[in-house]
Amino acid sequence: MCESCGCGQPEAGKNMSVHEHEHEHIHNHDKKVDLGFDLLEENRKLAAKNRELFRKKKIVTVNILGSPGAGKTSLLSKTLDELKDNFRIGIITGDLTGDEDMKRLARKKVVVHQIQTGRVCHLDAHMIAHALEHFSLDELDILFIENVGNLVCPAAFDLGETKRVVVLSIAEGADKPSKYPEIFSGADAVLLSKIDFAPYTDFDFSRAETDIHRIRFTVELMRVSSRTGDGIKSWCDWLARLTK
Amino acid sequence: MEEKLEMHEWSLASDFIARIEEEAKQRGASKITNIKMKIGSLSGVSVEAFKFAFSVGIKESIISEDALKIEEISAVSKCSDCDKEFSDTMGLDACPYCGSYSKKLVSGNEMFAVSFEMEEKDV
Repeated sequence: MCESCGCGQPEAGKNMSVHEHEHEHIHNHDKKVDLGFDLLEENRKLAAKNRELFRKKKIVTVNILGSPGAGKTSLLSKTLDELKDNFRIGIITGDLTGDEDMKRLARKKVVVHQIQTGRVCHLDAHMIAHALEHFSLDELDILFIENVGNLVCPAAFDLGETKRVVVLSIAEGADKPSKYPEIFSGADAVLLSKIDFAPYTDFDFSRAETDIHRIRFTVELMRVSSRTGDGIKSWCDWLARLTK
Repeated sequence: MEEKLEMHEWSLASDFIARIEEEAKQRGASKITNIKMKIGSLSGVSVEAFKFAFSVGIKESIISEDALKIEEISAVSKCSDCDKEFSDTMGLDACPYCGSYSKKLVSGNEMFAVSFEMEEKDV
């Protein structure tokens, strides 16, 4: 039996059936059954469990979202260089298939667990609960979750993270926040990445940043380049403050 | 099984179908009709994709083809400055009363299963 959620399934399963008590209205011939549940609720309940566990274990969990190629793995790699001497760091990385990211990040000598989602476009709280079985939670300060590269679907799934961060590379275009607002609406921080490309693009920083602020008023906005290291310090300072 | 990316609407649809069938079969249903749902404009769920996934998922089930009835709910935000509520379908709008972008979502991120109707087996 799965301890995280009682699902009775090995890892990667995701059928979670919960039996609630419905009220029935019985008519003479047909029968109406009230359901009264949210389909996203199962995920929210498991996310709340994860969040409580992270709080108890004093782990800052950062869910990193963004398109494929936004630079999530490079950012993490750079971040590890900055933080790994001062913090005990774990990484969960999600991809449809392969273990490329895990290999890249494991070179940094931190604990990395790769979730292969198969054909599923996002990580959910259930997958995270099982991934946590691969970590010694008492020996972690920061857990990064690199979500499946996708600017749409992961937005709908709370993982129980402490903070949600969206990485948008400037090569993707300044119109993306207004076209994909959902993912930005839940972000605590947005990192505009690959800013070393700026001279070669017409990226309109002011438009992107204004739109992001409109979608999420309280968001923390940062500009970074994992290649040159620009902005990495501010980003790491922001992370370090979360652990206090 | 189709070899394509399984967008989240597919897993939501197949979990939902399994759940309804379970509920209905426990009650001795022979046919399920009139499944009512409410989906918010900021739920992160595409209604069209969900409908399509649902229509594929109910083949060989006791759910009738035209059973699914979805009410689409437009998101509503509440202004943090003037406390008024306003329609904010895509989550991009400023408060129409005071112009502030400081706001909290009141509704629109739900994917709510309301009810279904069933016909019972003849005993």
